[in-house]
Amino acid sequence: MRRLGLVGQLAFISACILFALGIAVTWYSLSQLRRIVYDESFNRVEAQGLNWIEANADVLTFRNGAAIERLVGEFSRRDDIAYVALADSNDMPVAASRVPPNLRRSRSNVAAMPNAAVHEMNSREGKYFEFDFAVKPRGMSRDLQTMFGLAGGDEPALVLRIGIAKSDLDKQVSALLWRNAPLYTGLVLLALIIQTIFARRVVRPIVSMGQAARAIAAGDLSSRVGDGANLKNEVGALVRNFNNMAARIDELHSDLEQKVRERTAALEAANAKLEELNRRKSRFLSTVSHELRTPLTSIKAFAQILLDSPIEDQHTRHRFLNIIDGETDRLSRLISDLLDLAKIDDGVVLWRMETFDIANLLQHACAAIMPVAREADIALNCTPSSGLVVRADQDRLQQVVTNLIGNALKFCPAGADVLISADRAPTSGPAQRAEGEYVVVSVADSGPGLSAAECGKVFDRFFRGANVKHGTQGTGLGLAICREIVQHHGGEIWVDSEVGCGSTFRFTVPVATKLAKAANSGVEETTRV
Amino acid sequence: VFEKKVLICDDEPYILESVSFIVREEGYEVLTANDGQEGLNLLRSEKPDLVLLDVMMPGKTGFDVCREVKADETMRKTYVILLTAMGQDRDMEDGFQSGADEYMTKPFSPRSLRRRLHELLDEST
Repeated sequence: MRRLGLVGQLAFISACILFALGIAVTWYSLSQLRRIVYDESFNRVEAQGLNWIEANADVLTFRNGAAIERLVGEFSRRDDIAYVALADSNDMPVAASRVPPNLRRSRSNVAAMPNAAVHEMNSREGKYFEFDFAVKPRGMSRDLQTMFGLAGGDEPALVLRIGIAKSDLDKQVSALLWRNAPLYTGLVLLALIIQTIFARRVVRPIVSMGQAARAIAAGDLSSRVGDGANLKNEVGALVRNFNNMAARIDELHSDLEQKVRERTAALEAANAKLEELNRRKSRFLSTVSHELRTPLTSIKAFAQILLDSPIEDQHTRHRFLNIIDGETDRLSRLISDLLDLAKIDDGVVLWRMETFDIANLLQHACAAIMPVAREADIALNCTPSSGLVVRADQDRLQQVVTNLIGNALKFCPAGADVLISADRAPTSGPAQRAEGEYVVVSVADSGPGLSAAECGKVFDRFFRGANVKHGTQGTGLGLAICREIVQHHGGEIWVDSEVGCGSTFRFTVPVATKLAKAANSGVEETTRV
Repeated sequence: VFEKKVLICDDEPYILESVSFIVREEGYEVLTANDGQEGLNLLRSEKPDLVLLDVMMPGKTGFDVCREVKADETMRKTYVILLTAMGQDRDMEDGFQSGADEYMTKPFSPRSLRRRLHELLDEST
């Protein structure tokens, strides 16, 4: 049953129902037909009997024996008559034709007829219906009757018995029934065909839906049901809902995939960033260790030389002690620079933001470094425009300016010029990191200059240019610290230079807003976190 | 007496000066170079008996120089002492991998340097 599929199952159930219905209808038709056929036959036989009695009244009345024999014989040979018998009032046979042997009455009065009693008869040859007519003498007075010795009164003088075969009637019934059989069969087949077609229309979308569901489960999320989406019934609605659901799953899935892709990319990027950071940190650490060991090496070497070797020459002894002294200073500068950078990196620096005129700061820085410049025979020209009010940490900004001027003095030959100036600038610098009004401070020298490659790296930690002699005062961190300070203020620092044509270091600081100027009554301290 | 030649190669002038002083005090002839390339040139032309090599130098590193020395038939016999501020185990491995005979981390002890110089140079005579 399960193998038949839904269409087969529906057809099977329909066939069963139709078969049962057919049996019921046939049985009902049979009983109806039987009644009709029987009634009609009974009426006809009754009419024939009455007619025969009427037509042969005289013969019957006068009991012409030979004539009666002949008439009964003729009568019994009619088409639908099985046998005919005539008996007198004492039930003694008068005449009989074709009466089957051993005929016995099995049921009396099986039908109510006005002129005859109908009994059901049994014999070896089959069942019969027997019509018993009372033949009344007619057209003869009582005297005449008495004279002919006929029975008087209303008693029937003779009994006419006409038998018809029940099988004849049943044959008629079944003939009528069989005549309708092709019609019934045709109707049943038609019903089954219509039923199957309809079932197929309903089932096909369900089958497609099953295939689509399997495809979706297997990963083909674009799978949809093509059949039955335009059906106006529940199956159509089911198909449409299924397709909507599949589309939604597809959408959600691709959304999810997209999200996963984005997230993975973001995580990979973050991871790469962290790895790069880690590499940089570890590189930085090994550089730091190298930078710290270098002055220590000189200190240790010269100290041991002084301890172990008998150096008579005062000048040499003095020189070695001086180197130890200088290298110790270098070491402590390096350590404080490293601490500075670490503090800025960790955001634990206290920034004392104040509003002030940057010209004052530049003048002050120049005055402080002037003795060094004079000793190196380098001219310092400080020409800032006045009225450039900025908001910044004064000490840190002065550290930047001093560092830039110090670098210029360090690398310039005697007789060079260093020009310090400050002006308004429309942007924060070449990278245009922020918008607003800025002050650009520049420190220009006529020194040896930097190559393009050096210009890009000069602010990196521990970067040293080709012209930098090791073992001098530099820590390699000065410009890196400058960049951190300037960037913290929202500005930029950069260098324009060419080999042999001097260098110009510039940095920007945001101009103080009116609000900030007004709020300058006290010193505000901010911590970068 | 024919003096043994020692080449000192370092980009730090004070280290160059102190090591030169020590080596000279021990009675060897001293050659100095400020970077790897200069050191290699002197190695080829002067054929020193021993070279004291700094590792982190601009241009050719001490490892590079050491590899070239040990790959060259004419210079292979030159003793190489790496003198470096890179003190991690991995760096030391890299040093011996490049063929160095000795690896000393900065800050080094001048006394042990003196001892090693004698061990390497006097034994071979």
